[in-house]
Amino acid sequence: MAAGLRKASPRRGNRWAWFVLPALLFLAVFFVYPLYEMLNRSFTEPDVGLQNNVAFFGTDVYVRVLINTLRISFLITAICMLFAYPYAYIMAHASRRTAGVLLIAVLVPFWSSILVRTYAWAVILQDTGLINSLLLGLGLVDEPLSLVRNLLGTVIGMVHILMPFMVLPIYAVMKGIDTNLVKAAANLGSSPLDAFRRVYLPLSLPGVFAGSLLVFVLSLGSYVTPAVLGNPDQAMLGQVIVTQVQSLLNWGMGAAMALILLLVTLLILAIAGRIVNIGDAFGGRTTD
Amino acid sequence: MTAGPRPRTIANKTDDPPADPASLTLQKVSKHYGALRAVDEVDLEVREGEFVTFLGPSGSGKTTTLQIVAGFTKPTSGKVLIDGKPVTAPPHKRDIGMVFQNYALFPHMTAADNIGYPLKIRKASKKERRGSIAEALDMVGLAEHGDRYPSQLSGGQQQRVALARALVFRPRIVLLDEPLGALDKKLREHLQLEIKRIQHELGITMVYVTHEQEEALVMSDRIVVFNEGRVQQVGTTEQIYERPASLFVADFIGESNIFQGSLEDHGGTRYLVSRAFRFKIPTNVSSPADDGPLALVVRPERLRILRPDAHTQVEENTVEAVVEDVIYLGNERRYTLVAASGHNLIGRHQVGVSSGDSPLVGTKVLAVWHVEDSIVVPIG
Repeated sequence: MAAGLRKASPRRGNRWAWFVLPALLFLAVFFVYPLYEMLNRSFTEPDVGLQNNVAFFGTDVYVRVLINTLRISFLITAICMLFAYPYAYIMAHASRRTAGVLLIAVLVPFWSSILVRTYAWAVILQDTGLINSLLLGLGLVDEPLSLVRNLLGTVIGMVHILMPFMVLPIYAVMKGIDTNLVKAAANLGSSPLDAFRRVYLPLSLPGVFAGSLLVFVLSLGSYVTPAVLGNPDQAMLGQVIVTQVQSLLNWGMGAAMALILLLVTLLILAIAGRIVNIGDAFGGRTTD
Repeated sequence: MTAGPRPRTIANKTDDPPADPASLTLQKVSKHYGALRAVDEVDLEVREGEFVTFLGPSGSGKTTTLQIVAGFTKPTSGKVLIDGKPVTAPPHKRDIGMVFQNYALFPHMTAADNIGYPLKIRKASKKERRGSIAEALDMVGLAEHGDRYPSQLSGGQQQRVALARALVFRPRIVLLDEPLGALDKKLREHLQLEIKRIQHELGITMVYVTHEQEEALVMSDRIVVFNEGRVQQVGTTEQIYERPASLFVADFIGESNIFQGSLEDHGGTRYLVSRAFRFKIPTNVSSPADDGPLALVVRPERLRILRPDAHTQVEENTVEAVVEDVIYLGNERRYTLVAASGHNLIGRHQVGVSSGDSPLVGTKVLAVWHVEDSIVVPIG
């Protein structure tokens, strides 16, 4: 992240700073150059000028896709937060054994490809899938519920995939909260709920913030899951970019969209950076 | 040892039945974790305005007992009473102040907000709060530091804020759990006296946990010595030091010369005897109920070190020894002796008070003490 790069810069002639050189070279060749190339195309293909950006904001559908992308990402982030906070809390305060099991449960999805997981969800959620067969079999519903190929499908799949990115930062921050602080709050007259509200919650917020940022940014750029589980009529920007580049071979427009997505992401990071220290939120230490 | 001035008025009443109802009472309080008896049938009465210290090695049950009083740990059995009334309320309804070992200041609040926290919970008005906070900051000498965050304060300053926070809502009892453990010696000594001064000014009841015997001696009206979950002895600092109830107490508090043996009576004179020695002991020492072994304890400052040909009194015990080491500590000399019986002995003499030459390393000496300076305690 931005803060990480700043930290690594060779301040006060730290000779160990040279060790970041390979990483910087790698980034320059495989990240900065393609980024430049994309930037270039967005302003040069098919003609030099701002026509792609003008076309994007002039086209109702595209603007709606952008807003839709932001809306879905926000929804996914909120739901992740809602699930992840109590999960991380239990993990941080359970016995070491239980915490280990919970940690593995949240990490297992990391060990298989996104594509595999997404198709697995499609199998589970489709009209003839596991859930609907079960509900129909039990006579709880008369016709299959539409769980996939819509917003619900996207949200279920995305929340599952992105959950670790929310749980882990919250867990890390919660682990660092001194248990005596809650005891002290109780000792000073706070009921358990009050102690949570006044002491624990504010101290755990940096983790929530870090997790939300990760999940939101990752959601913005998602492609596979909305493509497989989502409603094609409610596409997210990632899907539209792929269509532009792969189907329409309109590289200029695709690049312009990617650039807009990048700018939106940077804007969000910039706003977030004003609220809290991003380095702090990701566990980086800042000394006074 | 430089003990500060101690108010003796309360402490001296120790042996009398308590006049006022006890501020804090523990009745047969136990906490068992499976087979481990972390706290085992602790009985205790702490009087209003008293400064009582729980002293013991780590794992002796002193902190667990404190946690039970605060309400953080539920006792397996037994009762805690405050002002004669049993308390079973959750911690936040107990109105007991507490200072934690690591201060436990809220890192997201300034010093002033930390101190104002209990007042806010008690719905004090903003104006009241501001007044009390200023007063509390002033009391601990941090009037200028109210707007600092804990991370901007030194360890000693953080501890002062923690103390102010525990006192600001005027609880009847304040518990302190090794509050000075993380501070350096000089600061610790300074804060010991300051806590003592504040306690005295406010007339508040304080229960203080420490494993540092010197700290306990400096601060306490009474000391409760813990070992293996049990109370070994309760008494004033003097009682604990001069009349320890067990070998553990004698050994844990202060330095001791210890001889183990059994009691013998020869025509009204009582002796503690082993293969290596035979010492007279005070006549008021009674035989242990189980006829078990006893230990004779002599404090180093009671031991006189004389030339081998020195004349000694009948009412004195003597041991022949060789000086192994002499350490000059400025205000005193510390002698290490090896007795003919193989016992290691320690003597401490104040420089400028003891007359005569200091014996040299390697010379033969007589270690001498008065019979009445013998402390006889049961072993185990």
